[in-house]
Amino acid sequence: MQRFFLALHATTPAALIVAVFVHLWGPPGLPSLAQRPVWAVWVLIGTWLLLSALAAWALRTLVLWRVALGGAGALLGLAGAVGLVLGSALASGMLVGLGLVGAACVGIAAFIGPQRVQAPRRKAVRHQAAAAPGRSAHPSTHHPHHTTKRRRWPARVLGRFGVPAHLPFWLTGALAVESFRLAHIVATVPARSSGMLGLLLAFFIALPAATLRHWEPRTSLLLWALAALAYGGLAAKAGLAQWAIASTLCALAAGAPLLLRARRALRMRRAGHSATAAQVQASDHRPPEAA
Amino acid sequence: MTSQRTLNRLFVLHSWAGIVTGLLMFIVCFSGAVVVFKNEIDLWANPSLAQLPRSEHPASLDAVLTQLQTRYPGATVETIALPDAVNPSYFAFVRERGAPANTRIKVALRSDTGTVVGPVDSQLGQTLRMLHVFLFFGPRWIVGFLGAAMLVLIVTGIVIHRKILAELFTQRWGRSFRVVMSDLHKSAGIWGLGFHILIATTGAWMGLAPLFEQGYKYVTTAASPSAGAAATKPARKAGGDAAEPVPMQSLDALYATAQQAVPGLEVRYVSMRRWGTDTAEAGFTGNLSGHLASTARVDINAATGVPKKVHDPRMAGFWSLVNGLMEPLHFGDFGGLALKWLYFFLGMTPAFLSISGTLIWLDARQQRRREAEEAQASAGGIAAAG
Repeated sequence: MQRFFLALHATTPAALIVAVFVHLWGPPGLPSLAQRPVWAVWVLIGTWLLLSALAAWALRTLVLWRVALGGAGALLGLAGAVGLVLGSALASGMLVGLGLVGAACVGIAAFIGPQRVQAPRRKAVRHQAAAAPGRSAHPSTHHPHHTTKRRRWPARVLGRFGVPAHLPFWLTGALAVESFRLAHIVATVPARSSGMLGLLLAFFIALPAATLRHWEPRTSLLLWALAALAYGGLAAKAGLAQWAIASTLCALAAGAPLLLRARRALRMRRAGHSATAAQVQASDHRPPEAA
Repeated sequence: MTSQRTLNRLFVLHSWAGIVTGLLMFIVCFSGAVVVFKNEIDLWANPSLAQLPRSEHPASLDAVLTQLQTRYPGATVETIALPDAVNPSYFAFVRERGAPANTRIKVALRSDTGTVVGPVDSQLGQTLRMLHVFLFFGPRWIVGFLGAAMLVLIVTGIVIHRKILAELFTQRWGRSFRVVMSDLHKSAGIWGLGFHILIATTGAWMGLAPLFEQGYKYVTTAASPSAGAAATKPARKAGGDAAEPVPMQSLDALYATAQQAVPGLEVRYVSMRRWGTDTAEAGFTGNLSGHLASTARVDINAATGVPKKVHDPRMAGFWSLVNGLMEPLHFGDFGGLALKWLYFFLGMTPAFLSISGTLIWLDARQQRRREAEEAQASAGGIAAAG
């Protein structure tokens, strides 16, 4: 999967150049390219996915990049030559431009390689990270310690009660999807504008609120409350049930950590009370039957 | 001074924002760098138009329209694109009778006589622009949100990599993969910093401004939506009832009116709506002579010749002027071929940043996994020995 993900990046130039060839030689029997038909788009997307799948399946990471870059360079040169053969306008200029960019691609493909980097030194890296957790060259080396070992109270509390830590992001995503549906799929007069506002709220208020929940719980709470108010306003203005639900969910997102924290404090207090009682009992050395 | 804890948080934010948006960002930035040459690509990908002449005195708009109506009787001529610095010919977008609303043919016409050459071979440049601006199918605000995400990445990147001057020239070859990629990532990010801020801001603006505008209008409109809809319906119906053939004003006369309304208007497109009816409109859109703004527009009632809407970004206030500057600043089409090449190379750097950031993130993840496995193995070994 990781290699496919990388291949999606690596094969983009080659897929675009294949699309160039398709546009230079539009196949007969299909709607004319003068109409900017949708089949041309699907050919590009299909080619891209197919090339990526093939590259991910057949090639290791470094070879994948070298083949993709080298292939893109060769195709660019070929496209420039084809333009010249077909007698296109600006053919010579495009040949030079495409040739130069293609040569750059081939050059990069030749340049990158195992000789440019050192093989990973596993133990050394681990010892270094362990020896200086706060002073590493790159913050990522000690980031996992922060997130996995010591989580702040909202994450701990939410995790304890079975609430997934990424639930706020799912909520943000749901808000964005519903807003998109209202703005661009339903797209009637009252829904469209409110959907656009809903999108802005999801991106600029709910998403930061979800992002900041561990780091700045108070800011996150404020943002969720603001989102709840704003969606509430939208519900009042547009009269759509979705916004009322969105407002309720944002209010829940704002209030849930507080409620859970209060509940936890109550439990701790009870546990503390029981522990004190147990301590009192333990300090009384007389056997229970003697009491 | 930013604390280490804040830096760690910003680094996590930078990493996750980058990895979530990375692929889309790469596609948008890569296609955007190519789209700088949209007009050149469109011309190049149409070999059949290579021999068309550039005329010093192009044919009149009326002649162009007459030729189109003769060649495509019953079809709707939606837009006429005038010859420009790159394309020597007229182009028109024509919707044939009975064709769906989104099926328009791009037709080329000689600039000297206005004679119809025929449908173009392809619209490659426009296809690439559709990828950059709309990701083919989406609304423009998706790319606008990516612009906003790019701004977040830039700001967090600047804060977490504070030794900007030192990192401009730091490249340690022969070190671990992550160090090499990290140096490349940082130096590319810092060398292109100004340009990245420019394209992220202008991209976010162009994608999100309509959303903010619609939202603001919606919030500040007092009338209920149903009342608004009810109010527009009779007007549309009335327009429909009156849709009987009406003589149109000369397009050239309308062009002259548009130039009078906005002095210095250099029209790029003429769009025609409800042509032949008494509500027909001709919209003249283009640049301003000696000015960077690109959103000048005059809408004229084509039956009466009276301007309905005049938008001159120089006169319409500060934000309108800012809005008019966004497109040329984003696409760099105001400084000739040299500026386009500069935009192309600088435009490739955010694409590279997406890739290098992804590679760094994946490498860090692999390393964490390896370390976890080694730790597990050693813990297992100790337990077994114990």
